[in-house]
Amino acid sequence: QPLGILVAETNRLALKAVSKVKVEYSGVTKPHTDMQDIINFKDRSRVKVYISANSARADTSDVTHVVKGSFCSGMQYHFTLETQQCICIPVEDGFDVFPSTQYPALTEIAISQFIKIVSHTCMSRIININVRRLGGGFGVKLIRSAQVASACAIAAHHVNGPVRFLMSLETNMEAIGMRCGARIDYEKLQIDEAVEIDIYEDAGISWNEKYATGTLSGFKNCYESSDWKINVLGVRTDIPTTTWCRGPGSTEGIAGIEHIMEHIAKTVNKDPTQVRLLNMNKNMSSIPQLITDLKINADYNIRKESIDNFNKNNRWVKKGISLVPMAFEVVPFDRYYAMVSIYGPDGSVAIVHGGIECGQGINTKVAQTAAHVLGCSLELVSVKSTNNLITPNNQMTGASITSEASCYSVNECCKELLKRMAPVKKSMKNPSWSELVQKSVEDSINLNTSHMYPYGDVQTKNYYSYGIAITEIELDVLTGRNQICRVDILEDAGKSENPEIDIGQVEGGFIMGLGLWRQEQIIYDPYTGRNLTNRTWNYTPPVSKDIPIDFRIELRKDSPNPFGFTRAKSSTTYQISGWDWESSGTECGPLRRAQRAGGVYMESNTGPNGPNTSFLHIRKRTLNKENKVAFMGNQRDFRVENRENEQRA
Amino acid sequence: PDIIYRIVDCLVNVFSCHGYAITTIEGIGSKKKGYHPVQARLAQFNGTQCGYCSPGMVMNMYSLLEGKQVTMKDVENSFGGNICRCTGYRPILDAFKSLAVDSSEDLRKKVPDIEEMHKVKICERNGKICTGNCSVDDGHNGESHNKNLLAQANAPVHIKLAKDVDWYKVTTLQDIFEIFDKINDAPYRLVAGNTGQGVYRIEEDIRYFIDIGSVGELKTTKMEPNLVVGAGMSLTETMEMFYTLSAENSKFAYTKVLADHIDLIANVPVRNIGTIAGNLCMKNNHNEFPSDMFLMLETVGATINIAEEGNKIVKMSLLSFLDLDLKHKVIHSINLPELDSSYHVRTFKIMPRAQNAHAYVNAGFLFKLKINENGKVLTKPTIVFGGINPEFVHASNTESYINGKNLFDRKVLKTAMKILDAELQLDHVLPDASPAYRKSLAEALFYK
Repeated sequence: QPLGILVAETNRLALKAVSKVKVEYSGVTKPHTDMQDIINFKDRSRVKVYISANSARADTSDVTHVVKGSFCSGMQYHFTLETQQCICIPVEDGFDVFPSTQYPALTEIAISQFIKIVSHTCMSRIININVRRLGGGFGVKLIRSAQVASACAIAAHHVNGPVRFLMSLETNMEAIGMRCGARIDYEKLQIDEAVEIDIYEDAGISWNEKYATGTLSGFKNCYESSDWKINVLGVRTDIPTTTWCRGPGSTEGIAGIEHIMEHIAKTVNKDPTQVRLLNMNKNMSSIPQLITDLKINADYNIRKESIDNFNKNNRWVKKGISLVPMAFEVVPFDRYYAMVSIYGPDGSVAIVHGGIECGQGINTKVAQTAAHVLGCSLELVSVKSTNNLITPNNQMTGASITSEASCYSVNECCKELLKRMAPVKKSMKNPSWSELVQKSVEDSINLNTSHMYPYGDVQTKNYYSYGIAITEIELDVLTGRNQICRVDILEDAGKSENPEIDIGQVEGGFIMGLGLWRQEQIIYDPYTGRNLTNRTWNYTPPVSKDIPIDFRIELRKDSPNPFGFTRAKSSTTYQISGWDWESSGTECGPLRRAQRAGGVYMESNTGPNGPNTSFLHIRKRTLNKENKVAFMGNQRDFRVENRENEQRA
Repeated sequence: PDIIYRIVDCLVNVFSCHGYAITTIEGIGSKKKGYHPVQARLAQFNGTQCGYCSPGMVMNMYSLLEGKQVTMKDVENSFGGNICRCTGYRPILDAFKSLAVDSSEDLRKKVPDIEEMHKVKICERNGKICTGNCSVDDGHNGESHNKNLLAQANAPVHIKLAKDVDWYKVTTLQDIFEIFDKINDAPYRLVAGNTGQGVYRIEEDIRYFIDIGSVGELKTTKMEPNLVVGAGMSLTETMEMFYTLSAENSKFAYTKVLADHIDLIANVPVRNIGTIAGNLCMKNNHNEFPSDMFLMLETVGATINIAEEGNKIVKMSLLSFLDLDLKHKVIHSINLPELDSSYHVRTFKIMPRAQNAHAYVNAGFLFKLKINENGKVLTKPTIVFGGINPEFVHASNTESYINGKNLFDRKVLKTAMKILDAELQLDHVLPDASPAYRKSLAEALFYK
């Protein structure tokens, strides 16, 4: 928990000063670092119902099987290579602020509120926000960057000089919230209650950011869910408030329902894909087609057979393959600005838009849009820093809709400018672009315009992005080490604006998901509440050799989206499609199958499935004649219990 | 000859750079000067999204290409120290594999017109487009190299860093002990690679820094007739030496196993400057550190030579080294024995990801076996584990039990596993993995 700000001449000196700060706490009680305890002990004062959706089916007379269980997923640190940071410079009319933020408008509001506290008066107009680009966002720079920028502004206000605020990796990991842990209980699936699901989310110390709607939508995925009763609940623990992280909620929700689908398939002894198809939402007819197509492209049936043979012939190395579908709901927001200026001397074009370039390629797509609509060369177009003079009150860069919305606004600007130049063009004979621009300037045409993308002014409404992934994995059951042999993803990308960028989003999201499901684990000291995994020595996101050996992404061809303005599907939606694929990577998928083939049995999942949860207890299995296999269950509980036993001793 | 390698700036003390010629990302190409082919390829293959990891990726590839024939496999194996959160690595690896000598047809097809697209720089010497594969000896990178500077690299240096902080760079063992004489009990630190701070941060206020990276005696390897390896050798140098030696000398064929294991320690830039002694020093200071270097050396029965005041070199076992007070002493060298082909050496490192992580459990096994006599164990074997508890090194009871028995006899194996299970007493310090997993893993590795 941040306690204060230390300002020094150098970063090094400030860090040294920090190490000299001594804090004494009194009245310390054991913190709640794990929401499992709160759920298990039914401490209702720390649980809040976010959403309660649908009602369960009344008629259960045809129910033949009951499936019960619990699925958990862990926290994840965003690991933006650029940590939270900000530069703030007091100037004549207020502050020039250079925050690393996905949401300049919120940063401006927060700074203004903070300055108001220390100087009684402050207005948004004196906070000049400039954002060139981010070294990674993934959601952690939506809300939390405002906190850091405000701290920086307060320091600048006090010293009345420029202040640069840099977070170390350790401070960043300890103080700033992460992806929330989740638990999905489907134990209430009883004959008399029909389908009832409780989804718990770890809110952290306050209820600030709720994944709930994303989780609900993710959990429904592509299935007929109208008679599932789903409760989404927040659990208040004592860890830093959890925050948005790539595919918030949808990641957890999809993984959860896919886990349940697998569980059902196992219970009724049916092919999991068949179970999924039987439960398919009739309005999502794309999915069965995508499944059929990808099965053919990826030689699914042949490979499945060869894997069965492989497993018969190998005792200690096992393989598994899985197929998982995904439907991601895209929900448009409003207020995305763009301004376009065209320059006389050479016909070059400058754009300012309200989105933030954080690696998703928004500037490339915006520039492409302008060049395409204006009919000029892409090299003439450049994109400037985002600032709150030109894009006031702009919506955040998040939820995978910003590229599309910003492109829309640029599109409108360019159409308007062409309209203004049309009479000039008419008076000329086949002018080149630069001749046309030059003549327009001579005729005093206004070559600057702006537009704000408003909700409802175009043919956009909620729509779904679809995709299928087939994943194959090889597991050494003795050590738990495993390697993803091959991944095939077929993505319905609409009519892609830039296939290379979109494939990049799918791949990047997929690998971040591999980290979440396989190897990234946040561990808090159950007694002090301190994050013990606060740097690369003890927190291990994927490196290059962790990726699938054979990694194939295909965007579905000729599939225009009737709802988006460019016929593309939301330009950054692919991120989300990507990041949910990881569920096929482990939970319901190939790792489980390889584990089962190798006699490794896991009853419930409480965190990433690394080697440490995927192994077979060698001594018991090989040398005793028992048929029972090892149960490597709830690691986290084991740890706490272990510590408590030690303490008692 | 000049040695060119990649290092990570946050691990290297700037005073250690005396005599270095340093090339940074800005030095190899830029928007103004034109891009280096490594930079251009990364952009061409869409290998950069937010861009923060790109300079590191480029410099890692750039130094990999220096004076070497790089294969696609080399590329794939060399990026364990570079994290990218955006791309998922595939396009980065593709971009760099396209520069490999054995690059695939697919990748090469993606390359045409790249020069035009990304304005690759013009070679200062031959006026043609830079191809990125000429070595420094050709003088192509002359702008960043100052031969005079390199010549000074081996001169001793004393810098007053602050009122009460001194930096010494020394070139002989004698120099080190002369400084020890002067400084009494003041806190000091021997600096070679300095990469250990990636594991354990330096918390003490150091009064004297002694840069021993240029002490030649600590970097010498000899055969007399056992192999004596200078403890100041970097892990990369050691690895390369082992690969060469194992191919040439059958008595040291086992060093290939060690070299393969070194490949799993940290990452390329850390291995380029991190030393054997530095790694062992951490193990000495922090017995809980699952040192791979310690494990592999103890597996093959290596001993360690410690330099002490008065020109003394004391030879000792690695086990006694664990308890040694290293104050005013220097880890001098390592003695490695000859082992004929009846000895079988196996080591393992199981970690949470493919590369660049510390082990859940690591293990080393040395068995002198008669394979065709049901695996008769001819001498007391060595069974070493790391990651069990800070004191644990040998599975001594298991070692004693197996001696003279037939390893492939199921009953023997079953008893051995039982004994091993009893003597593995695991600690549990968060955030390490659960004792249940680590114990089973240790047993599985023995079984393997």
